[in-house]
Order: sequence, then C-alpha cells, then structure tokens
Amino acid sequence: MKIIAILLYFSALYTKYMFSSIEDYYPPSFWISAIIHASILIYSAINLLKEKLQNKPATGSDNRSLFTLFKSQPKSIKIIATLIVAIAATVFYLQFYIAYNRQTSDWDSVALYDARARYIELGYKFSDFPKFSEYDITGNDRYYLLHPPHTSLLHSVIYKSNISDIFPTGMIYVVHMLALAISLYIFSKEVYNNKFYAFITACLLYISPDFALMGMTDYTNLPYSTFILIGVFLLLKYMSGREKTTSLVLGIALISQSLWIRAIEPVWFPIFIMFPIAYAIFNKEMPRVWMRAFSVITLGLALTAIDQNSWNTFVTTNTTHAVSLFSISTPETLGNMLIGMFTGTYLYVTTYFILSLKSRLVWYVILPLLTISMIASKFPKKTNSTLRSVSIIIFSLVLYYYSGAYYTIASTTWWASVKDSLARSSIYIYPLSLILLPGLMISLNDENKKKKQ
Amino acid sequence: MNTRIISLVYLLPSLTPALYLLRKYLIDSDLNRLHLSGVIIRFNTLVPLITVSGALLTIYLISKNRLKSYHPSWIININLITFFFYFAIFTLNITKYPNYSYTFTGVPYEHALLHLFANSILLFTLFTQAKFIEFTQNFTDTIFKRNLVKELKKDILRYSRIIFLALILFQIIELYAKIPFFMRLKLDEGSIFGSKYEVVEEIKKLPNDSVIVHPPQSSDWPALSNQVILRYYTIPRLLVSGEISKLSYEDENLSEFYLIRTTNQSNNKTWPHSVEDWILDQLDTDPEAFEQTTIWETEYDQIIQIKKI
Repeated sequence: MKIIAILLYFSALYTKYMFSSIEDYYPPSFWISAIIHASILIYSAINLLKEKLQNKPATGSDNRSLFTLFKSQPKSIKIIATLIVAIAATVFYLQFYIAYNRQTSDWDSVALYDARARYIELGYKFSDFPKFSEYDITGNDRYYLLHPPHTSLLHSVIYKSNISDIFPTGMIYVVHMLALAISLYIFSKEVYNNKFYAFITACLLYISPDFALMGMTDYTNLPYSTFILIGVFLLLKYMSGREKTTSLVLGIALISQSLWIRAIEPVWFPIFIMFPIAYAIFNKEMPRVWMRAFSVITLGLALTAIDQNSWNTFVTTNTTHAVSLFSISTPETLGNMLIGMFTGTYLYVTTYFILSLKSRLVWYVILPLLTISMIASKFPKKTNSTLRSVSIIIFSLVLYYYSGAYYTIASTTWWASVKDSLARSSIYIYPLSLILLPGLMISLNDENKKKKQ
Repeated sequence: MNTRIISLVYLLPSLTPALYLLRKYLIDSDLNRLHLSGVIIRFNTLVPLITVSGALLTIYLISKNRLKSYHPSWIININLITFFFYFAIFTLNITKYPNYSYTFTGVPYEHALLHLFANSILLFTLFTQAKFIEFTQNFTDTIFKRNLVKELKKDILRYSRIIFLALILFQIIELYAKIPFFMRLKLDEGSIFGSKYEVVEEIKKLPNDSVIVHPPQSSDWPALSNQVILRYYTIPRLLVSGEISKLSYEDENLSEFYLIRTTNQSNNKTWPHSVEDWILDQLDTDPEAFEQTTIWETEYDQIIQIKKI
C-alpha cells in the first residue's frame, strides 16, 4: 500500500513540477509546499526501502490461500461470492475496453479537464485562460481555474509523449481505480486477517454503480477519492499504533495533495480534526493516543493550509474573483440559516439529502450504526477500534455533507441543481463503509453459531 | 374480519397494464375522450401507493390478531404476472433507449420503474408473510417494552443475511440499469458535441484568426451556444456570444467574420431570425459595409461568411 501511495504522490509532485515549468508566476507558498512535499517523498521512500531490506516476517498472519478459504465457507456465501467476483470481473474488463475505444465525451471533461490539456498542448498557459471569457455573456473568468490542474496535466503528459495509442487518457482512471481496490484489499486483509473477506470487499468496490461508472469517466472524483482514502488508511494504521512516522507523514501528505486535484470541498476538515479527537476519546486506554491525535491535527492543518493557500493565491492574482476558505460572510445567509432552524427547514433539507443520495444513504448511515451497536469485543482490540473509528469518520463526513446541503439551501437559489454533484462528490464514503461489511457478517455468524449451540 | 376483502387491493396492480393499453389504443385515438386518458394516468400512478400501503396495513393487522388468515396464493400468481410485464418493459428500455416501450405499450419509463418498485415490495411481503409478520410483532413489542437495542439486535440477527443480500442485489440491479446507457453514450455517440454537429466541422476549416459569433446561451442549442464546449473543438478562433451587442468590430481591425446560423428542425427555431436585421440591431453598423460572400449549407446548420469592405 505504501508503494502505491508513493507512486501516486510522485505523480502529483511531477505535475506540480510541470506546472512550475509552464507558468511564469507562482505564489511563494507554492515553492514552500513543493520543497516540503519533495522532502517527505524522499524521506518516506528511504524508510520504505529500509523496511523492505529488513524484510520482517508478519507475525500471526493467516497464510492459507484464497481458494482454501473459499472452500471452507458455507454454501450460501459461496454462491454470493462467485456472483460478486464474476460481476466485478466483467466491470473490470468493461473499464479496460471502454478506455481503449472511446473519445472524451463527458460534459465537464470536454469543457474543462481534457480541454485544458489540449490548450496547454497548443502553447497556452493557465494564466491565459481567464481571458477566454472576455466575449462570453456569463463573464465567468474563474471557470478554467475552478479546479486545480492535476488531471489536466496528466492528460497533457500523455498527449506530449505521443503514447495515447498504448496508454489512452481513459487508462489514468482505470489505474486509479485499480490502485484503490488493491489498497482496500491490503487494508481489510490487515484488519480482519482473512484474505477471502478482503478480496470480496475489493470486488464490491467494482460492483458499486458510482465507482464502476467513474472508472470510465474523465472526472476528477475518482483520483480525488483514491488520494483521500489511501491517506485515511495510512492514518488509521498510524493511530492504531501499528505503523510509525512514515505512514503518518505519507498519509497527511496524500490528503493535502488531494487539494491539487479538487480544492473546493474542505473534506480534510472532518478527517484532520473530528476523526483523531474521536479516536482518542474512544480509545483512552491506548498508550500515547493523545500525542498521536495532536500530531495528526497540527501537521495536517499546517500542510493543507499551505497547499490551499498556494492555489488560492494563484487564482486570485489571475482572475477578478477573490477566493477565500470560508465564504459564509453575508448577514443575509446567516439570518436565513438561523430562521430556518426554528421554522422546520430541517425536514426539507433531510428529504433533499435523502433524495440526492438515495440508496447510498443505507450504506452511509445504517452500516456504521449497526457496527457501533453490534461489534462489542467480538474481535481483537485493534480491529474493534479501527472499525469503530471508520464508522466515526463516515458519520462525520455525512454530517459535513448534511450541513453543506443546509448551507446551500439557505444561501443560494440554484440549490436544486446540486443533487448530482453532491452524490458524485461524496462517493469516497462508500469504500470506507465497505470495510465495515465483512466485520458485521463475521460477528453475526458467530452469534448465530452461539445461539444454535 | 376476513383477509380476502383486503386482499382485493392486491388486484389493482394487475389492472394497470390493461388500462395503459386501453388508453393507448382506444382512448387517445378519439379526441373527444381525452379527459379519460388523464384520469387513467392519475389512477395508474396512484396504484403503487395504494397497494403498498394496503399490504403493510394487512400485515400490521395480522400481527395484531385482527385478521385471521394470510393472503391466498392466487394473489401471488397475479402479482408475479404484472411484475414480469413491467420487468419486460424495464429491460426493453434499458437495451434500446429510454421510453422505447412507450411507442407500443403506452407505459412511460418512469411509471414502469414505479410499478416495478411497488410490485417487488408486494411480492417480498407476500413471499415472506410469516417471517415479516413475526418481525413486525417483535418490532411493535420492543417499542412498548423499551428494550429497543437488545430486541433490535435479535431481529437484525434473524434477518441479517436477507438485508445484506438485498443491499448487494440492489447495487447489481442499479449497475445493470446504468451500464448499457453509459456504454452507448461512450462508444456510439462519443463525439456528440464534436463531429456530429456539422457546423463544428465547418468552423474547423476557417482560418485560425477568425471570429465566430455563436447563438445566445439557451437550452435550444445546449452545446453550440455554450462557449466552453464549443471552444474545445474550435480552439484558436475567437468565440463571441450572440448576446453581446456592444462589441465593436471597428476596433478589432477585422476583415471578415462568420455567423453560425442553426436550424432546429423539430421546433423550427432559427438563429438569428434574419441576418440583415441582426447586423443592424446588434452591431449597430452600416449594412452596406458588409458583403455576403459564401453560405455553406449542411444538413442541419449554416455558416455565413460576411466580408467587410
């Protein structure tokens, strides 16, 4: 998982280097973050090499192969598992097939992500883009700089090196999806010490309609969620005390680098603040938990502040729009929100929220609720605490999105059109909830067995 | 109270396909009976709501021992037939295109989805009557006993496998419904914004320093009037929105400019309505200063090149 993390991290740093070679002006915080990130990359790569050279054998791990584990399952689970694996395999094949046989056709990609790559190829700079909207009735000169340039620069790397026949731009998303599935497999294998359940969770990722379709689309949501999720896995490992500073530094760096892909949603806020505090409160008896939580909060906030600042200053110097972190400023919206609290707007927002997330809400709300109620010391301590903290992260993210929906309804008139993007931007919660599913199944099976006896 | 009286509610879904067909082939052909068509549509959209609430009500009553027996088996058969009818429409719509079935059955795609959802709930309650009633009994008991968490745990344990299977199956069905559309969008109509519009192909032949005035942004020309989309295919050329009237070509020192005139055949919308009027009104320049040189006519669109003398 760390190797995947380092590779992804390297790709982000490479596009930063490309950006600096294209542009004439970049804010000083861009350089600071680049230096910090480069040193983190070197540090973690060296540490990883050391670990690989020492080659510690993992203690107490289950060495049985996937097939023998599959044989030992009851008949009903065998049937379900084969169904899941077969569908996941077809989706995987379809993603490859479509990546090699399509043109860029998605609206946002044609308008923004792939378009920027094409324009850079023609010799334009990022600072030239605001001029395009001079004769547009909308006059929105921030349009091309709304999202940071990571995926566009990856596209332009492919166009420049003329390898689009061997490695088309659609493959970027297939590879990100594969990286996410592999790291999900590795993480859940470490949590449950069972290869079979880990493999099923990785396959369930491909069965989800959102992720299956995102692997075929040139949108930023999939790379963004890979960065964030792998970062969260590494941080979870660090908090549970299994891993040392390498995973802390790499995890924080990956999450802050996700701001190089999408910068408008402050997802790092619930991850860096609510999660470590909640984890420390729930696991008071663990040694040095508060130290770890404190280091995650301070380091994470410092790095993200630098990264967010570098892109925001670049946008504000080149466009007429001023970008700030929190734009809740007008007294009118604050008043709307306050009045809404006493006039039952909650009901309205809740129905809107349920309608926009639909079936996903079952995964996001019911699964963590069940895990918190059901899993009471069914597993070893570390597994229990990771499962509980995963459900805490999910809860805090759902809360964050709920309050976001509340804010948009109170402050804007176009809130009804955000439904799809709300569902799309929250897709990374699904893999997190997948980790809970096998844990629930195992504990339920155990209780069933106990009852029969 | 006998169950069979309430069971009659379950007959309603089996009526709906016949009503759709009736409306399609008999009523819509006769213009005098159009109001009947509206009544049928309203009734058919209400049926799922009525039947689902009826099913839940009967189960509640049975669990409270107000009703004596379970639903009879012939109701299951009738509901299975209607379920397969709507499922066939659903698959047809997926494999062909949305609303494909409307042309010969008169069932809109969204209605088919609604009926399918309601029918699957009905079938689920019918097949698992005994277990479901047990569950509701336990559930209502636990609320009054106030041992919610403990009792809920027991119930969840009993039905856990069904719940998880339903979750996963639901995802697979959603995937099955989405992927064919998506594949078609990606592979067949992949160039929907580009080469399918012949006007874009024509613009590409123009010199790189030309100015292109495109239709005002609206839903009539979702792709052509959107600058960010159009720019992807026409990049070095300058795009000007048709709504901007204050633009002065005098300052730009341009010798020629191009107007895109689109014809949406279905609604007969043209832009601009008349070339001469448009130049007079919007640009506020002398019409004699312009000389119309060439008009490319393609199947859907026209490009007019106007030279300034």
